[in-house]
Amino acid sequence: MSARKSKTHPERLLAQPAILMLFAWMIVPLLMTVYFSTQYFNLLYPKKSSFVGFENFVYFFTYPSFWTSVVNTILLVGSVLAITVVCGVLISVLVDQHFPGQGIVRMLLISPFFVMPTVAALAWKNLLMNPVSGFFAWVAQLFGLTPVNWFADWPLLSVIFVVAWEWLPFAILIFVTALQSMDREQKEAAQMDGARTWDVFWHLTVPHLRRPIAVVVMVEAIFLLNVFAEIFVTTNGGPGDATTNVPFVVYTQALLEFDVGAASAGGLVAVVLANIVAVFLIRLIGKTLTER
Amino acid sequence: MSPAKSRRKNLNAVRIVAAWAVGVAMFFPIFWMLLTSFKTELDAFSMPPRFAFRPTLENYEQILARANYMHYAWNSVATAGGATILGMLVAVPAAYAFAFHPTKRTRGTLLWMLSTKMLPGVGVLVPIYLIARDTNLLDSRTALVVIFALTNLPIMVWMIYTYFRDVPMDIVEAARMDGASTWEALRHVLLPVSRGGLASTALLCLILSWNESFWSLNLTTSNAAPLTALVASFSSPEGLFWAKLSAVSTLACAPILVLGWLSQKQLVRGLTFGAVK
Amino acid sequence: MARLEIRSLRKRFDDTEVIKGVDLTVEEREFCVFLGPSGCGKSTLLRLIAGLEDADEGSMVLDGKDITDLAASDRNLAMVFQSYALYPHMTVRQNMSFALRLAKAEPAAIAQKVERAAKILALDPLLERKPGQLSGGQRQRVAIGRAIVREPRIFLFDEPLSNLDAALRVQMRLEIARLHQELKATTIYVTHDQVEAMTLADKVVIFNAGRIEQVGSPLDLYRQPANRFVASFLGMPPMTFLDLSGSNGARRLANGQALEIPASPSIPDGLALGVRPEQLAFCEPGDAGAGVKLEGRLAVVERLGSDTCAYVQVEKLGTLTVRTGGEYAGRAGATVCVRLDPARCHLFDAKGVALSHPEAR
Repeated sequence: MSARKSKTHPERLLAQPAILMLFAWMIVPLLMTVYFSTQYFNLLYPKKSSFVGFENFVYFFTYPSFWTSVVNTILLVGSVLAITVVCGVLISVLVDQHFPGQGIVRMLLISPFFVMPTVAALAWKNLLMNPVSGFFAWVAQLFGLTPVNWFADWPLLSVIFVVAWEWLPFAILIFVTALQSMDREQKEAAQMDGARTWDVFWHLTVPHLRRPIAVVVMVEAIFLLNVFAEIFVTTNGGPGDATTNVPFVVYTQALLEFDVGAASAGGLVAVVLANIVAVFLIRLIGKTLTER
Repeated sequence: MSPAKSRRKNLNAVRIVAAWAVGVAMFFPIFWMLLTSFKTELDAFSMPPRFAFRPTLENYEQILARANYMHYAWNSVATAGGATILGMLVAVPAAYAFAFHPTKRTRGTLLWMLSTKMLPGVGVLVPIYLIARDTNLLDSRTALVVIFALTNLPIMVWMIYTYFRDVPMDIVEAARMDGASTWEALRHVLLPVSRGGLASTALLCLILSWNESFWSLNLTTSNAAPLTALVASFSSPEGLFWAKLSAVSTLACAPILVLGWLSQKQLVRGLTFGAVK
Repeated sequence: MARLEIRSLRKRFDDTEVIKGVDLTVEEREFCVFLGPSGCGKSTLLRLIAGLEDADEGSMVLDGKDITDLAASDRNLAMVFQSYALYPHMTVRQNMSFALRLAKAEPAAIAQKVERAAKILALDPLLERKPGQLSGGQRQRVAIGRAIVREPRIFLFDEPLSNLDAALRVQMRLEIARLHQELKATTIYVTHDQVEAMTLADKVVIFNAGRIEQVGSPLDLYRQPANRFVASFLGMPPMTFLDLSGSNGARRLANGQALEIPASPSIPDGLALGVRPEQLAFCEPGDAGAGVKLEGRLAVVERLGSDTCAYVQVEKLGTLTVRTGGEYAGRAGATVCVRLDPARCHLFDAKGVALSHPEAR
């Protein structure tokens, strides 16, 4: 009776196409970006490429708009995260009870998430925020105030509003789902112990939502670091560089100034930023895997 | 009724009113856009805004009459649909392998797949653009189909993986005892039982591809431009065609909005990579 | 019907060996029960036989043919799962005919076999329903029907009754016994419930921590357990064990009372006495008779109607369990007297191996 060899499992090969495709998608362009970032390469003058080492990075880090773009990115991501999480928690608690029309209200609340970013941005810019004929202008006039020229005077704030409007439904949807899994009996026990609405909210609901909040923050951060279309379609990064974020500044370098080298350096910076967030998200999701 | 009870009732009423108010406020921009699409350009631009107006279909007529809209719409359908099909063809076998034939490296591989989703598009914008240009795939639907499939593949694999893990192992074993080969077990038992999960995954991919606004704007100009690009073209300050913009936007968003309403519960799983169920 | 020989089977999960060298033969037409506590490996062994797990060492031979390396789908064995594992998207008829359809059998033959199995199990009115519309007992019968239709060489049952309520369990037990008589099929049945084992089995195999403790007919195992483990596993309430001190000719119980154990040079020191509840009896303090009289206090009296289980606390000895008639009137707290007759007890050595058993009455 000899020891048996473990059987081969050909089914494991079924995963190869997906793995190979993603591997190619990730590695090949990334390596190319690394390569380009060390080159002077302008699409208008392709023959004049040459190796310039870290010059592109130096150029990028001394490029004034670059630091502005980093600051803008952080402001954008941070504000939207704060707005969506805080308002998301409050709103999801608000609708977490049966009332006439609950289903309809839920549908209304999650709708913005399914609207295209370009549509969302333009609807806000033109229909709502336009200082001459926008809806907000009319409301302001009703109260005797001068209408705000949103995208001209407060460009970054306006973009933040638009993006927050788009992503708030995501947070609401996640929190509402999480709240449904909350133990009703625990709430009832707390109420028997004398807990009031605020106590229940602060001591039971919020801790229960800690994990979903973490997930929402991480997932949103990944997408928010890449906000592009809303800016492209409303302010084009302006006025000046007031609404330029990291993706936009890279885009400018690559497709407007055709400076592939600088754009690649900027792209790598964006990758590093994203990786920092990714490390935390992976640890969080990884824990979920083992908790089955 | 005791004062405490009437106070609770009032609080409840306030809560209901507040919930409705928030819902209406969130939906208002979409509603306003829908309304504007039925106005004439003059009405659309008027100040104060007109709530009562004579509705007209002229915007829709003009948009649909020009071959342009259908072309963009077709691009959206083709790229989103193509990406979904391609994605499902690759994701289902992978999820099957991970769920039913796991190895010690499965967990690591799944997490790695997750990390590719986090790659910022802008980090690979340059090489992808150049590759597309050099392979003549710039402004082509093929390029978009492949890229959309790749960007959504991690989510799809994860989603289907969690749905497969929810299938009780013993009906698959029962099928094997009944003499089914791997393929037969997949076809007759596993796939029918996870029909719902597969549909949700396909739906999510469809929605995300339809709304994708980075590659669709940067890699297309006219031939393969989907609806996202069409709407973006309205951002130029020359001439304000708000009513038409609203009509185009409504047409572009309506199908996805409906799909999203129908599948909201199932989307939560995919959007959070299974962390929230 | 088939004969299965298992030789030196071993199975490891990661670093733990779960099946530690099992040798067993299941004869044709035999109803063989694998019995043991949770985690003893009986379900694992069943899955090894089914082909759902791969053995690390050893072999399995079915009707002379080595099936150790065959895939589950090629072994022609049928399994009834603990959770029934019915295909939720198929009707009962489709569930039962699935295997035959896969094998591309003649539709007429399939229909006939399904009808026959349905009639045996009274499933006729349910054939077009889906599992979600059936009760637990009905699903169980469909699971069995699915196995019958295939006419396999061996039927494998994995704790099929554990998800049913008590009344249904009794009913299904009778059904399974009747089925076995009618079909006369080789059956391997895994359970942790000794009542099922005692009532259904031709042969019982008792497992403990991956090894076989004893193999035999139910009554053989009950009357002549090979060691303390088997002795305490069969029988409800379980056997009481009393340690004996002293050596040949002068054995004493823990409370000092002397016992007459036939002396024999081969009987070592460190003995323990094993006595089943029905082998103890109440007596009056003045009664004459074999054995010793133990005085104690009634702690708990369980009246089942048909008989009574009394738990008697004896000083320095512990609790004795006595089974007596249903009309027993003793109340908790009363002082009672229990007769312990060594001739009606089992003897175990220091390692737990049985040395002698009382003569069967």
